[in-house]
Amino acid sequence: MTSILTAAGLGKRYGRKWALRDCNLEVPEGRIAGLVGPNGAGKSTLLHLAVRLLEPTEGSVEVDGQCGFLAQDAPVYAALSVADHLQFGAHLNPSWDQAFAAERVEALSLDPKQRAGKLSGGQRAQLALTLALAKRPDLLLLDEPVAALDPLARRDFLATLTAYVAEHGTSVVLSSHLVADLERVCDFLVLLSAARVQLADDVDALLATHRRISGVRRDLTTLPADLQVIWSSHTEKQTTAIVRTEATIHDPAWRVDELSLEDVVLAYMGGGPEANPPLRPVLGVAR
Amino acid sequence: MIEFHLDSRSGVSPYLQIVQQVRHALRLGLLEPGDQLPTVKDVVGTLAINPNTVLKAYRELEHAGLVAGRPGVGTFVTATLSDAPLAAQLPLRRELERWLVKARAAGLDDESIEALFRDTFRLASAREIA
Amino acid sequence: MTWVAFRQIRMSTAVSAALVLAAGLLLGVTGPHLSHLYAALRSCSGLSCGADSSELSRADLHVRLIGPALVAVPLVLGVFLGAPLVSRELESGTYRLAWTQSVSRTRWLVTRIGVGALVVALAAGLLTFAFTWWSIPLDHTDTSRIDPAIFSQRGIVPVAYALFAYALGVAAGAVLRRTLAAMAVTLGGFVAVRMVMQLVVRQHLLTPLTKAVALTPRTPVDLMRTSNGVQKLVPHSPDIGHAWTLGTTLADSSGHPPTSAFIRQACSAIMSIKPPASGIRKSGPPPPQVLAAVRSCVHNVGLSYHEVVSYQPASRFWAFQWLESAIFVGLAVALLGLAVYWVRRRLV
Repeated sequence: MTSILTAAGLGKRYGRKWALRDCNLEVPEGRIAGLVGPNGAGKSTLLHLAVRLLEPTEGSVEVDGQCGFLAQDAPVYAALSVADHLQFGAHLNPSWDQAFAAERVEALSLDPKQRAGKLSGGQRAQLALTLALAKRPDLLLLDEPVAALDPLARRDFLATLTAYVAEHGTSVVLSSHLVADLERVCDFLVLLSAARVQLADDVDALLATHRRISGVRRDLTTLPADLQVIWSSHTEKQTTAIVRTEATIHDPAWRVDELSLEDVVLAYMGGGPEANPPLRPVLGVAR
Repeated sequence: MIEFHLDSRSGVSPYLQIVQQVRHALRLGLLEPGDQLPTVKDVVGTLAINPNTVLKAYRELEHAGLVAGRPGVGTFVTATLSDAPLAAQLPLRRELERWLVKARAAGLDDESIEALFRDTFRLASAREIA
Repeated sequence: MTWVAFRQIRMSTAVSAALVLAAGLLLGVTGPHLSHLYAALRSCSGLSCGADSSELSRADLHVRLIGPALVAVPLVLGVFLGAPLVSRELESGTYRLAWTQSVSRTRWLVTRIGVGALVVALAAGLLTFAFTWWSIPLDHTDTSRIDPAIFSQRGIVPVAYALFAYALGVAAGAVLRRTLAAMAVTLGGFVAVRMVMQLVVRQHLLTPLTKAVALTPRTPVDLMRTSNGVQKLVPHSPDIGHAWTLGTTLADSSGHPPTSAFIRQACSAIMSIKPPASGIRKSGPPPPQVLAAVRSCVHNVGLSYHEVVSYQPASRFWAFQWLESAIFVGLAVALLGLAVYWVRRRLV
C-alpha cells in the first residue's frame, strides 16, 4: 500500500516552543484520514507543513502528488465574486476542471455574481471546497473544515466530500477536534497530542483491538503481557481500564466492552479527571 | 431503489447496518433479484459516510451470495432471503423461552440474564475458535 | 496570474483613475485661464497691470497649494497600492488560499508587484505630465525648475518617488504583516528619505559651480556679534538668475576666507553701538547710525574680499532629474528585493 503522505522526523519550532516534534507518519492512499487532537496540538502546523505554507525546522514531509488545501475558516476574497474565484482557480492551476467547478456552483445554488464576503459560513466552506477539488488533487487536506458550521451545513459539506471521494478515489486528510464527525467519515486516524503523534492506524484496527475492561479492583501489572493498558481508573472497589490487545480477552473476571472511536481517542488523550497513569506516548502500528 | 439510514447510537457499526438493511429489505420483498442497489456515490452523498464502508457492506453481501457487482454498471441483487431459516428455528425459540422461565425463577433480572448469556456465548465462541 | 493580479487591484486602479481624471479636469479647466493671465501680464503696461498682477498672485497661491497636493497623490497611491499587497493577505488569512495554488509564491508576488507598479507609475506619470503642462506659463517667469520647491513636481522624479513609496509599502507590509503599521512606516520613511535627499544629498550629486560677486556696502549680510566684537559676516546669497543657489562664502583674491581677527578689526565701528536689550532683534528698519556702521563694516571687508556663490545652474535640471530618479528607483528595486526575500524565506 503506497503512502500518500509521509512525514519523517518532522518538527517545527517557533522560538523556543515546538509546535510539532518527532513526527513520523505514513498515511496510506485512498483513505479519508482524520487528524485529531486538542487545540494547540499541532494539527494546523502539520497540515501547513504538508502544503508548504511552512518550512520544517527538522525532518521532512512529502506528498505523493498534487495537494488541494482548505484552510481553517475557509478563507476567500470578500471583494471577489464566486465567478471571480473560479477564474482565480483556473488561472493559477493548469489541472483546473472548469466544467466541474461550474457544475458544483450550480448544484449549490450559488449566484456566480455574489460577492464571496456575503456568503454564509456553509456556502463559503462549499466554495472553498470547490476550489480545492476542481484542481483534481491527489491529496486533499482540510483544516477543521466543519468546526464553525451548523449541523445541516456540516452534513452537506461532508456529503459533498465523500461523494467526490467515492467517484474519484482522492485521498483526504481532515483535521477536527470533533471526533463524532470523523467516526462516520474516516477510515484512518492520526492522533496528535502535545506536539507528537500518539496514534496512526486504521479505524477498523483501532476499534477491533481496543476494549474497555471493568471489574473488581485489581493491580493492573498482573494483566497478561499482550494486554497494553492505555488508560485506567480505580475506585475503592472497582478498576476500569482501556486496553489494547490483538487477542480476545477470556478472563471471566472482566466485563469487556467495545469502544467508540471517541472513547479510544479520549483514552489516548488522557481520559477523565481520574486518569491514571498519565498519558504515555504510543506509536501506532503502520500497516 | 432502497434508501439507507444510519443510527449512530445503535452501537452497530455502519457497514453492518447497511448489510442488515439490505437483508431486511430482501426478507420483506422490497428488493428482488435484478434490482440495483444504490451506487456508492449516492449512498455516501446522502449519509456522509466513508465510501469504503459502503464498499465493505456490498462486498460482504456479495460473499453471502446475495448480490453481484457488475463493473462500470453497479451492484445488483442476485438472490432472495426466504423466511424459512427463521421459521425453522422454532424449536430453538421454544427451548430459549423455557430457559428464560427457569432463569427468572432463579431470581435473575434482565441485566443478569444478558450478562450470563453474553459471557457464556463469548467463552463458547472462543472455545470454538481455539 | 496576471489576470489575478489585475483583478485584485481593480478597485485601487479605479480610484487612481478617478483621481487622475479629477486632477486632470481641474488642471484642464484652470490651465487656459492661467495661460491667458500670464500672456496679459507680459504684454501689459500701466494701470491694467495692477488688476492682472493681483489676480496672478492669487493664482500663484493656487500653484503653491496644488503643486504639493499633486505630488502627494502619487505618494498616497503608492502607499495604498503597496502597503496592503502582502499585509492584507496575511491579515485576512487569504494567503492560505493564494499560496496553496499551483503557482510559486515568488511568481505570485513578482506578478502582483509588477502590475501594481505599472498602475502607480502610470498614475504618477499622467499627473506629472498634466501638471507640467498646466505650469508652462509659470515656468516662463523667473522661477527656475531646478529650485527645490519646483524640482520635485517636474520631469520624471515624481514617478520615481511614487515607485519608491510603493516599494517601501510592499516591503513594510511583508515585514510588519499589518496594513496600518505598514502605511504609517511608509509615510514616515518616505518623508524622511525625501527630506534627506532634498536638503542634504541632491546638491552634492554634481559638483556645484562657483561665481565671484563683488561685496558692495548695500549687500544684505548676517553678523555674528559677541562681547569681543563681530566674529562672522555672512552675506545673503544674491539672485544670480536661472540657478539654484546653495550658499555664499567670502574669499580674497587667493581664495582664502577672512579671519575673525580681520572681521573684528574691519567692523569695529559696530562695537560703539549699543546692542539691543535682551538680544531680541526689533522689527522695522534699523536706525540710521546702525545702518551706517554696518555699511562701513561691509565696505571695509569688501575692499579685500568678494562673495563666492555656490550654485547649480538651471541647465543641469535634467541631469539632476535622471540622477535622483535613478537613486529612488534603485532604492525601490532594493526594497522590492527585500520584500520578495522576506515572503519567500521568512514567512515560512
